[in-house]
Amino acid sequence: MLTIVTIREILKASPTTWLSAGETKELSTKPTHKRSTWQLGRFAAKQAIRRFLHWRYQASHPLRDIQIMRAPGAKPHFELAQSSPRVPADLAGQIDLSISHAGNVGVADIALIQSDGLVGVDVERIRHFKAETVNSFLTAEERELLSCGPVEHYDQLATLMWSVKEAYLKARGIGIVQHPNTISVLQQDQRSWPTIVERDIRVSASVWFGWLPGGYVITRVTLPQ
Amino acid sequence: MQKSLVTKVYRIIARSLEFNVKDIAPTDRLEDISDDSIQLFELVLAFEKEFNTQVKYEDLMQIETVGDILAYIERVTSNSHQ
Repeated sequence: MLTIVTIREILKASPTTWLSAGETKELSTKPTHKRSTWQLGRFAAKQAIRRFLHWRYQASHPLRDIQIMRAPGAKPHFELAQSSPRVPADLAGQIDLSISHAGNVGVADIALIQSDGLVGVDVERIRHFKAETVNSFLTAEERELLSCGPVEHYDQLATLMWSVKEAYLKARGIGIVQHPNTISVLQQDQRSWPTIVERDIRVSASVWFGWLPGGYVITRVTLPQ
Repeated sequence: MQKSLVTKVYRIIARSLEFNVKDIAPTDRLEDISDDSIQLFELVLAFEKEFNTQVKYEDLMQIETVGDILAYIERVTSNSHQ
């Protein structure tokens, strides 16, 4: 249920129409310049959950009733403001949710833990990195891979590597509390999906990525349970 | 905490996250004053360079605000002086 939203969708409706009272209060605590990006992530998450509930349980819930919460250091989760006879009461505990936002884009995905495993998503603006930054977060294998590719794609691929690492760490629920240079994102050829190698061991993970207009990359990593 | 250390930390944050020093407060949450994780990573690199230290990434889980950074840097710099 990968869901992508852009700033245009956020601007169409007042946040009070789709945020709960608690979320509206949380929004008011954010710095003014961060409120749009915060809303992007929330909107994407609520849309993803609403689509899932409709697809799996034929249940319809207004966005306002789908409350997204996140304790410090923990993955986000959701609660329904009103219970539904169609939706299992313990559904939130069966679902893994991941949210990301950057610039004018918000992304969210959910996974049924038992069947799909854990999920992490990330969206990044493609950028030119300072040499010190890229040399710090890339592994030797990654630097070699980039050096073999076209120079004009360097920034794109370096951003992709960062994004996959972050999505992977988010799937594990730990975020950037592990140095990114302990993880290698490698690609055998241009037609294959990237693989993740951590401390010389290939990780059993499914990696997907896509390029968005406006200079963004979106990545998704799922880890089997 | 020494005022000079606070000033130094604030300047690093301001430079890395493109903020005005006077707009930074100890209660500011890093997720609210940074654009993205790459910017936060560069902030860590800046601190490592300035204080000649290697940050333990597992410690980052406890750092959510500017105040947390101040406390961490004070701990790191006092440990290095012992």
